[in-house]
Amino acid sequence: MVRKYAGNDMPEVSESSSFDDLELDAQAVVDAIMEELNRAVAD
Amino acid sequence: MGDGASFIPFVKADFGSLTSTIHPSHTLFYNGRIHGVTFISSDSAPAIDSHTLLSLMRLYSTLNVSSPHSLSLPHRVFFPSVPTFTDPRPDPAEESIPRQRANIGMAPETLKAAYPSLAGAQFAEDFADFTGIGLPVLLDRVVIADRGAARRGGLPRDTPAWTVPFTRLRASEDWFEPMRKSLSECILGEDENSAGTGTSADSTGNAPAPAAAAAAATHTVTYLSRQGGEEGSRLRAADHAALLGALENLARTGVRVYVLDEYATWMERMRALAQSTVVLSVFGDHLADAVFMKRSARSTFMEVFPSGEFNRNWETVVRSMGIRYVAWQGKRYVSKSLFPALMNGGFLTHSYG
Repeated sequence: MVRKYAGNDMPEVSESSSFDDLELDAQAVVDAIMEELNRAVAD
Repeated sequence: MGDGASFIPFVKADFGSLTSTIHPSHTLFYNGRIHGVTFISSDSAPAIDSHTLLSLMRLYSTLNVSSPHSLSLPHRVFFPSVPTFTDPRPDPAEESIPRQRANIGMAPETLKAAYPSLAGAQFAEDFADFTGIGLPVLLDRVVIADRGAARRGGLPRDTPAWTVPFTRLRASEDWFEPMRKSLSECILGEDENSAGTGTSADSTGNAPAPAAAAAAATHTVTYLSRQGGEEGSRLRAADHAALLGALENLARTGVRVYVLDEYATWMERMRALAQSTVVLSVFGDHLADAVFMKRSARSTFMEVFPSGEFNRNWETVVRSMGIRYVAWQGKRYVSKSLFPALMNGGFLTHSYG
């Protein structure tokens, strides 16, 4: 179940079933992880 | 008592000073004094979830924004509307049937490890014991969450009430550190944040690539896989396989990579998370354990959503702890700039298409 929020200060919530398999760009994720790790070293 | 619908928005109950105003002669009017800090969640069992205790702790931490560590840790938590067991009472003669304990929103091991000051959760039967005494009991300091009171106080029906202590009240980013440190010290023997750099492990044995080695050598990444479940969301099989391959390549650079599925033991899961700078998974309540991830300047929490839909449950929690939050949707990285600061911009007004 996914809660979708909408609103200004606090969310309104609507719920819908979402049992689909999710898409993900695996390489983009790992690139982003490396970006975060490199940023940690730079700090 | 709560109606299972919401939390009190602004309650900060502090009766510590009250005790000093009670004349000694009045002490006859209460049965006993329970020292320390008591959390009470009066919601019924279905409303107790992984945010319940976090929300109470966050609410309590607002009592001292500048120095939350100076607050004494909670000593007990009451769930007066939740029975101790969730299953029907078995035949007293049948002793081989294990009882199913009530859900308190976290693994019982986590409660023991992260909240060692808590003597344990107390339930409806325990509360009835106090009621049975027939005289009031004075609690030194109480933090209460009551969704029914929140509704009567005007909280919108569609607002997830547990968010209020996170979005409407100020607290230090360190508000959860006592619990995180307790768990880390319990399962690792020391807090990873103060344990130095550590060593890489679980790599393939190849030498780290030069460009990545400096960043990678001391960091741990955990992917909480949900591919084995029969319901709920998971990655497409091909994308999951590609992610495992990409993470394997990442491990070759010297990064510690843990991939844990639904069948990992509590200890396996928590040991990995307590060491992790980055945690990645599809959305869901299983991410509650990730609040115990290692803290650093760039601790990062990555959550994968279906295309066009999202929720802000874990973003709300982890950002309050100073953890960077990144959402993925479809094949797209959702820019952090689209997520306004919690205390300033509120919540998004649209979903990402």
